[in-house]
Amino acid sequence: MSDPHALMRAAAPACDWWSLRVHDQHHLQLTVRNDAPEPPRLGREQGALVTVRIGAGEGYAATSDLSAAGLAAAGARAAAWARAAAPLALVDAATLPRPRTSLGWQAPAARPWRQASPGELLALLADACRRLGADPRLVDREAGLLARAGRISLSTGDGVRIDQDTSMVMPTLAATAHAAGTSQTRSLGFDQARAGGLEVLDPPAGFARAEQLGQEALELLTSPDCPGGTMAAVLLPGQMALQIHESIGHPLELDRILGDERNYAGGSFVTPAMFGSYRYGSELLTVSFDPGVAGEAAGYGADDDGTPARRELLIERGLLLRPLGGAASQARSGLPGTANARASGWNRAAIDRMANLNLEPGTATLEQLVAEVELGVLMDTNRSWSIDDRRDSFQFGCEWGRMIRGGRLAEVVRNPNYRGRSADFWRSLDGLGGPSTWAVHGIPHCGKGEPNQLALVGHASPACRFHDVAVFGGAA
Amino acid sequence: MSLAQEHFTALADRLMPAAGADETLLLGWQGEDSDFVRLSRSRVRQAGSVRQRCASLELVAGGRALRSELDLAGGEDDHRRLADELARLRALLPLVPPDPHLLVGDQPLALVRCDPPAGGDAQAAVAALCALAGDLDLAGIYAAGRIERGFASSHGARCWHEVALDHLGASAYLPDGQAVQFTWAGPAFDAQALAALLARVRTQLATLARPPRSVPLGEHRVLLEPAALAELIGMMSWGGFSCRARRTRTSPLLRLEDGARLHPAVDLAEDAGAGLAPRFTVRGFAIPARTALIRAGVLGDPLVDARSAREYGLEPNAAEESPSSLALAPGRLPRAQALARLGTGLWIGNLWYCNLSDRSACRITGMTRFACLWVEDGVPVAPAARLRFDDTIERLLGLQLEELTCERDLLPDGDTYGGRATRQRLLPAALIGAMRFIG
Repeated sequence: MSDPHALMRAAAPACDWWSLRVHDQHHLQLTVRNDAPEPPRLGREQGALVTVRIGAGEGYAATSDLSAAGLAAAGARAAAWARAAAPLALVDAATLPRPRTSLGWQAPAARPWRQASPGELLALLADACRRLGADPRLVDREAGLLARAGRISLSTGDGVRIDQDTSMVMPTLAATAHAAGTSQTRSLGFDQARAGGLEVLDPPAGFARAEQLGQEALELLTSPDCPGGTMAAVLLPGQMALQIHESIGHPLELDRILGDERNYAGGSFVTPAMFGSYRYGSELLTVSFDPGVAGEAAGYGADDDGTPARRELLIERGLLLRPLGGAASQARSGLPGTANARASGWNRAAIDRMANLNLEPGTATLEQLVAEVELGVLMDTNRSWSIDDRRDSFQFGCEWGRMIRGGRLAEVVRNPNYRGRSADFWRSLDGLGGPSTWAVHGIPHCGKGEPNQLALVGHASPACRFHDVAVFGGAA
Repeated sequence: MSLAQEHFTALADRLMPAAGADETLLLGWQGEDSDFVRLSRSRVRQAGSVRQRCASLELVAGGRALRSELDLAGGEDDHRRLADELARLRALLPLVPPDPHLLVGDQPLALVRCDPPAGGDAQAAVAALCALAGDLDLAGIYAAGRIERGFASSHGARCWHEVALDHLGASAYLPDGQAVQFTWAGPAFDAQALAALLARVRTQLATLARPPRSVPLGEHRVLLEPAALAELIGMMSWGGFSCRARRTRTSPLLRLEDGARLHPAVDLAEDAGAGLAPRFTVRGFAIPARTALIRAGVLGDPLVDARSAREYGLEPNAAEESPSSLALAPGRLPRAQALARLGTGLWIGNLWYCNLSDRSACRITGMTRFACLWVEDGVPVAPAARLRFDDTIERLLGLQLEELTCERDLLPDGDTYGGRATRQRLLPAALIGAMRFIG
């Protein structure tokens, strides 16, 4: 195949500016369920999105035809949309920034997953599925693997060229136990996406916890329901990832604050005036946008608009500093931002997304976090998430809980849930775990945008303790 | 025959003879030619077009199967790429273990639906839409164009499904954030219909402009509009009608599985015969016109994909085990009388971000969103602030369900993850005696 960027240079329409983003991504999805392997699903996504600016208008056209004729046709369609949009444009395209820096970037992948055959990997999954357990009450056991790797390249009419090689691997593992009308599931969580190759599966990560998860699912069957009341909550990183995602990440997305998402994902309780003065959380809360954390899923050298990525603090010691907004949103709002204009694939235009969004660790051990709790519950692994369209009022549930009584971990409880409001919750952060409690998680399916897009995001966090949380259990 | 169908059929005809005597080849196709215009503040935020054609190629031999998905260009080169991919699958297949639940249809299915071209002009439509919006603050998306699905097999199957669908999903805002959400869908843009719709939106906004009412927490009578009811049904569909989930006790409708019943008025079916989705699967099976999922409040037949069919000894009746063309039978309450029957309570236009707070009990939490009105003596008096509910399906569509309306809304699914959806729901409004609000 000829280089699409070279073809585009020859076929670009008459315009003020154009860019071409080409995706060539391989993927693999494997599942072994109840010891039976399902047919492997391989795939290759190849296509390109042409963006054209003419006067005040911007238009795009996506195509899976990467021939000279296909790209020329896409360029013409994008130009037609740019002309049509110009008199109706919300944002004057002539004022939008352009990328200026060419660069190359490569995700680390010590053992590229494409070098292993689907058969080899299925054997690994079959072993993990078996190790979930053979108890007849384990009614559903599943091990899976999702992997993606490839190149995303961007070129512009004014000579910028960015090439980035990505690689991601995500294991999944879940056991469901059933008895007496109730089913309980324990899983790795669907947030194990990591940048890298097959080394992502090396113990203690990957499938190493299979036996433990199977046993915990069985234990939950006979565990009491989580009691209700106002108490302390200690959230392990597997739940913190979701908490950060929903009640810090989404409300800080600048396109939401500017109103673009109001019809779908929603707006935000955060307003432009809050940056620099609003106390988002306690002094323990420092949150970074960090594309450079080793192994975290959403690392990159530049975002999909071509803005070079670098670490930025969004919240420092509780004070709100900057939103998650790419170059276009920054230009519209006059606010600082981050390099986070991202697209889910070649067929979608970039929008403001989270990438790696992390809560910075403190120093406490998990034992120290627990020791200061008279009554509370420790929770792990998200299973239920609901939050209002302004990302304020939330209700989350976890697979597994353990009561804390008198500073010690006590009985396991099932159906632990809690609710609160983003605007208050982070101010109740009163215990911050250190590096020994810190873990990286990655979610591959954050939904947003019109047309809809699923994004890969990373969240690293220590265990955190919150006081006076509204906790409750299950049942009708 | 459309150009896309001609191309797909030609590809299949060239590729299928390559199948060996002991091999089965399955070729699936998902394509669309779409225009997407994102609106914010009644202006164009992002506009463009997407031409995508994704083929799935599955090789089956010796009890093993391997599937590959490829983006194709839509031209002459497509056959070479599929042939190359077939060679790669042949090399890999012996390395894959046998699949005990493998089932592939061996009939020469020939199911074809090809809607006539609508001939719409998306750029003109958006200009008209922005003009019609006038001083309204609209946010949302206009999506237009054709959606293609295809299936062919080495057993002679040649199926094609092509529909034209324009879809506007948008909301209109007041300065304080109160909003009305609305959708319009049809084979082509219809300015007259949209003008009438926007007139109704303006009327609703006038009610929302009144000072908001703080509604006390606890139980309230509610009238759930079809779009709100769709969110609850969506939660039930999260495994509730899946054969696999029902057999493995992971269904949220466990209690119905174990004998509990909903209100006898709840008659829910997968009505594929009236849907927008194809009537064939990419494993080579035809989908029946109708599958009764809940009959008079009692859990009915499951949705069975090919894999479950083999595993549990059933006939396949679905491409995947979640509904794509749900229809809830109409009730007896005329919609014009619904507010009067509600009396005092909440009129809820939309629910949002629902999730299962206790899966085994099908307990659902979620928020009100967009128009939610406090009603007194059958008259809407004020918008209600956002409310969180947490309640079970067994109560909401069982003990507490009073009536369903005679009239139903057809709700095409506007989802565009990866590509444009062909799902839809046909639902009445539901009058519910008590719904629990907890925050």
